[in-house]
Amino acid sequence: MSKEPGKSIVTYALGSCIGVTIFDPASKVGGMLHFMLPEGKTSPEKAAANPCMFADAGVPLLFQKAYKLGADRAKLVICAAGGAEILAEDGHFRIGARNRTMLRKLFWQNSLLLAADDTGGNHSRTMTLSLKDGTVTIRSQGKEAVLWAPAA
Amino acid sequence: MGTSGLTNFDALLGGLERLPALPATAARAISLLSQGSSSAVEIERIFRADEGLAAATLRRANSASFAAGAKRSFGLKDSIARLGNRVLMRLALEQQASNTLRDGGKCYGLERGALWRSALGGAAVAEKLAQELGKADPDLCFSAGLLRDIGKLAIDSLSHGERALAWNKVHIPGAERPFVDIERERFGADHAEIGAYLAEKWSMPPEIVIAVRHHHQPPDNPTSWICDIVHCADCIARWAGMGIGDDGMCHPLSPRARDAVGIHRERVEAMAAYALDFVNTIERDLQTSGNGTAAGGPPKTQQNPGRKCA
Repeated sequence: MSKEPGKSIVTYALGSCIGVTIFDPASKVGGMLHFMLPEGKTSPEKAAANPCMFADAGVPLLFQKAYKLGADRAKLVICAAGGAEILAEDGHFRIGARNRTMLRKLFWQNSLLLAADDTGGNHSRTMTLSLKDGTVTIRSQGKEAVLWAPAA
Repeated sequence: MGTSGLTNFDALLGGLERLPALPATAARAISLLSQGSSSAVEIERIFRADEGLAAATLRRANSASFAAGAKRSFGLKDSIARLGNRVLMRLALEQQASNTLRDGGKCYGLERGALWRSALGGAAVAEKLAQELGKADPDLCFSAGLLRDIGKLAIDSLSHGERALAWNKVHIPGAERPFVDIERERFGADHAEIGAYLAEKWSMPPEIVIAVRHHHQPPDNPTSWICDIVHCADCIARWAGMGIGDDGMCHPLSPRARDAVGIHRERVEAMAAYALDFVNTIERDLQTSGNGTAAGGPPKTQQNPGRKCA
């Protein structure tokens, strides 16, 4: 979490994990969460020690920290990337899909909308948030693409 | 050769300036420990010369699981006698392989330290699965998990800087293939086969060589507990966000091994959290400086411009 416009925040090699970015264009407050699993209830001790491993504990923390730095909930631009699956996984685990579902459930419960997302598949993604203007880029399979950028 | 009847690994790897190698202390220790009649005096000399290895040996011998009921603490000589060859081999690898693995996986787009984190995470899960199942030696499983991707070190050299993304000449978006198939097309062997060849060169016990060889495709007939366990541990480490490079998630999980090991969703999630916690703890203990980012950890903040992408 930061409000220094000269910086960017990056997380590398998202697989089934999901990266979530939030950015307020007015206050320039932006942050990123890289969570691994949907719910902390499978590892309560780990969830207590490191809530950011889990969507249900980490996502609220991300927003709380942004509000403390002055972000305005109504202005937040939210993006997500990751949530890939192991190739040919026959539905036993679906960890990427469950991460995606939990994220949408949390947002739906809190009346929040994703501005853009790049999720699923079997490939890794590197996600970068520029705190200058909130541009989010995804590097994957050798190509970099803009996931979200402010209107010109 | 023992690792594959089809590929001539001496010819494949013969052109490399040098083969990936373990640090000298670990190589000497493992060479001795893999011989049934190893000299305790010589092993003690090697372990004593390495402060970290000696300390880890003392910690392990005096830990609750080994020293339960003991009325005294053990010195290095007694600790070595008490722990046995498999545990000592695991300690030597755990303490020393980081230097070998830390820079590996560049051609897969892995950040520095990412291959080491993945090795440790998979090793921790393999050990825990073995302990819970009681079907394979936990220390052997740990060592096999730690070494499972050493073939990527040789592939780093074989690829001459070409990224793994370029190896797939028939990529059809949405129709991904197991990445080991792509490696075989490009190099004539995949990183698991090459890793087994290296493990054999490093005097690893046959169980470890076989587990490295089959960590993406455990054999169905006959089955092998250590292969099934290391294979499942590799997938769990991937779910924990470790070792994911250009090969992404393109290493399928064997349903037979999954059912044999008995992993289900809740167990996998708990194991993934355990793996991440284990790796973070070891890295804190070793005060290392890996650059990779991990789930639950803070994403990196950096100055614009000049983004560093995998």
